[in-house]
Amino acid sequence: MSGCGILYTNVHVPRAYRSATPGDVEASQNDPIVTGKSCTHSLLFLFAWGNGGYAAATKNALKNYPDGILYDVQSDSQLKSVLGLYTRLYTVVTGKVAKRK
Amino acid sequence: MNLRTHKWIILKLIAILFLTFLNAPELFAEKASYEARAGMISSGGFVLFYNSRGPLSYNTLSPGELPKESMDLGEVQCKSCQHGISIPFISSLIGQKSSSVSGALGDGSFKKALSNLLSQRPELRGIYDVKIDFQKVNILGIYRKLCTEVTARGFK
Repeated sequence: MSGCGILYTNVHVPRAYRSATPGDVEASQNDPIVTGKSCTHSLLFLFAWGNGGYAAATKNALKNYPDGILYDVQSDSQLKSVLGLYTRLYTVVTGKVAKRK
Repeated sequence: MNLRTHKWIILKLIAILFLTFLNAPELFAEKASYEARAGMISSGGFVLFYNSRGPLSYNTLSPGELPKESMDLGEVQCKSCQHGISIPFISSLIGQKSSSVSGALGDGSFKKALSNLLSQRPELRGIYDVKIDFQKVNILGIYRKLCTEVTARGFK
């Protein structure tokens, strides 16, 4: 919905992400759960912009753990719209952070 | 033709243009997700020329599948793009309906993206923890670009 602007569009949208499983990393029970968001915006259906991709969302999730890796990842979409005139489409990535093996 | 007929034709033209623009988002509509999804740039109207490659599927490595002696090389990024052009027109030959002529060109495949990466980082043996995004650019519905962006960690 917010991926298209009739006059101008420059958006990054998610396509695929094969995330790690607990067996892939040094998982422990105390691994923190983090969430990261990225979003695209759309105004009046005319303009669309923003980076709502997986890369931006995972980077945001790992901002406090630059050396960590996400595992057991759930990714969701969230849409916020005001009268359909301004729209934000989020990619929300939630997962646990572990050390690399 | 009287003034009323003129007004009617102008209104029809405006409506056709409006519907053409309304149709523009469909150019980027994603189909239902399957395991293999072709990411080809779309083209509308009369396709004059189309020679493009796009991503289909890529079974990437997870961290646990790396070879034992591999060494992490940090984050790597690469991309490959397809380009499209679409020129709208209104033709009396098709009953004053709007349409467009379009064309697409480029290589936005995984193969191209990864060969771009290997040319920048020849020491890479492979990538893992791969995130794949699309970058979509659309200017006035006339020029379109669809890029496959790969963000991952590299290893050797």
